[in-house]
Amino acid sequence: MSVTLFLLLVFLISLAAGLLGVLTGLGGGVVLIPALMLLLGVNIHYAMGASLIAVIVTSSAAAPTFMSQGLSNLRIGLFLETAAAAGAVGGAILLSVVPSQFIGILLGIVLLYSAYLSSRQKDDVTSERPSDPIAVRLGMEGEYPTADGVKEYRVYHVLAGTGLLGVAGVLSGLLGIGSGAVKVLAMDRIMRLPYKISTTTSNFIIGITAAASAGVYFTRGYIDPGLTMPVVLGVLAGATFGARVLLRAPSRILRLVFVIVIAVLGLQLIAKSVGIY
Amino acid sequence: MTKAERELERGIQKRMGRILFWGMMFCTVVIVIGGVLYLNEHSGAKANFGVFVTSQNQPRSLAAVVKGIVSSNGGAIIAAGILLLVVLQYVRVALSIGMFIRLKSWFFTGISLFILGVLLYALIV
Repeated sequence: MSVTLFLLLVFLISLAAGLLGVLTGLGGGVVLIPALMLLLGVNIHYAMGASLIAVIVTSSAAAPTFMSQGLSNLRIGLFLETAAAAGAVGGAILLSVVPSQFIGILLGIVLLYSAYLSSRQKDDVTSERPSDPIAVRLGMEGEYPTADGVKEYRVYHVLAGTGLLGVAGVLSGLLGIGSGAVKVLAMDRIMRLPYKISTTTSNFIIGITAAASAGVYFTRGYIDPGLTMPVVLGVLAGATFGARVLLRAPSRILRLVFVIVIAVLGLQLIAKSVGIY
Repeated sequence: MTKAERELERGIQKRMGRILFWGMMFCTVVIVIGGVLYLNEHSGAKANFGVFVTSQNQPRSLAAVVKGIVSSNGGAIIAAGILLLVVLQYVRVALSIGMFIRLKSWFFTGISLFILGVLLYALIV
């Protein structure tokens, strides 16, 4: 197929990836890699490079909307990011010694497990238990908009969440994604933040995590400019639109989308890596 | 946090968001320009992104990117735009440092400085 047609298809896939990436806080990388590999036969290294940049775009495109609404919790985000960024550098270094087939299977398992955990989640519950003292000390609590008006939310298990984010960072470096899924899950399930706060906060920091790995990816030639160009443009459009949608959509539906997306992709990626495709 | 502090923080965050927005727009323009040139250069070619080639196509160093820009190579200009996007994330962290200094939150100033340090370290590794 011609380059122009090929890149047009990449653009369309990236539109969907950007949209879904913002609605789920995943960054779209997780959607993009399997889509590029399975639908267009793109080599995994180029797919990983393009998706890493896609994560940065998703993060940067949606940030203005979320920050003007005060949804992203910068204190929580940056605190968690210390662990994630350090892990990302380590993960990127492991790149050259880990075979890509293994990476594909690992990613698939991460996705399936994430889907399983998320499907068991109920709606946002405001508990009356006081927040983790660390969170209170550091001023991490905040407000979020609900159907009944603006409410305060509590923050729990800060250290456990941070530990998990260190793992998320390593995965990010290894797999070329922002590990948004692990971040959202850590904030959603361990720290018990409202879903929209988890996703918007994750959205804020995944760009930073991706940037930590970007240097390594660039010097190894994983980031092909021709392929990445339509990805950037498509994700930008999708993510910008997605940010507006997230503000209005009910969390229940967003969570359902999250579960479906990552479950399907997890299965596909494992199948591809194992050779069924 | 008092109401006044919260208001101040909201205001700073809104400004941060605007800077990120315009930074993103600038990078996009660069990438579009590079993209147009790239499509021009490759218009008749067959798409081959299925095989990983460790040689010609992509510039892999800053020097290569600059060389490519000078010779109006579409791919190099796109690469420059991509690198600027990465730099924008560093700017994001720097802005956060500035915000926490302004709010006199020294712990988070330290946190943000640490993150910036990790990012800079990642460049040398």
